[in-house]
Amino acid sequence: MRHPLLLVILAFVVWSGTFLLVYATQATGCSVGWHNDEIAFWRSPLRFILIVLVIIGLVAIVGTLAWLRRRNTLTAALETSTFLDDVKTYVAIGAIFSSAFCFAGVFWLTLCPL
Amino acid sequence: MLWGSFALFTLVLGLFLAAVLVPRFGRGVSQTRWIILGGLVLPLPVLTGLTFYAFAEGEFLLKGAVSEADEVLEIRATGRMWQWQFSYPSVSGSPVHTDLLHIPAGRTVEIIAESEDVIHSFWVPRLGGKIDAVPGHSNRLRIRADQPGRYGGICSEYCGTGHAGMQFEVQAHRQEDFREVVTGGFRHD
Ligand SMILES: [Cu+2]
Repeated sequence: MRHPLLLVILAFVVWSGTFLLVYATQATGCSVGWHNDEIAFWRSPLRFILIVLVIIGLVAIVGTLAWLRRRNTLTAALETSTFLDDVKTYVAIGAIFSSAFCFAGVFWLTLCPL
Repeated sequence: MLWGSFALFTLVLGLFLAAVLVPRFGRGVSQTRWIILGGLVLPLPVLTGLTFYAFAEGEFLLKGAVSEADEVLEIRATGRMWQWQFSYPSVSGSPVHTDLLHIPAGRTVEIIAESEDVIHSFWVPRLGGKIDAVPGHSNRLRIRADQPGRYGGICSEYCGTGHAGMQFEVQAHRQEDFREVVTGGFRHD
């Protein structure tokens, strides 16, 4: 499980999980009608649920980065090269940026057809 | 959009050819800087621009294009192995059209995609939309042709041996011709 190549893609695996969760919830919410009423700030329950999911996803990816960095410092002395460690860190930072960019739409885009 | 892609293609290929053919081209720029310029500075603004353009278009089709929901014309698109059938619930006296979808130009059209057998996918690349037609389920997709004309469409979900031939044509007509064309009173070829 701790294969270094798997750890390289770990942050984007978490990103994909968040995407799947957000997409499935949005589709389900639209079909069930969670977008129809306003509960607070003129926003629907569906929007609040999606925002919470995106924040959880973002926290999970930042957590992944923190975990990878701590692991890197622990194992640095045992490894012959730190190249993969650097790649993991950069990939995780990329995943944080793409999460913020891709999922920001839950705050302001139309969620469902009329 | 076409000219933008042309400019980018020329730029990238020009840099590539220069690096291969012109002696010592690009040596003055460090490797790290090449990666940062070519890998981040060039693509990020392009992709950001395209993403926000797509957001704006999506919002336009969902809301801005119509002030009332009934201004959207609903058309039922039913996929089956291996053809598409189009019917017009709101146009009385219109027959079912096979592999030929008539739409009015300059009006937002809502496709209700359904399937009689397996999963198909309705796709008209020039009109931007693509959505799966799933048995027992109605998926909705909005498309809009600004100009009258003919647009190619195809099934884009593999659905059996006839999949590759499961094409259809979209004809966008002037608003005043549309009803006659759909009800069959208007000769066209
Ligand atoms: Cu098909």
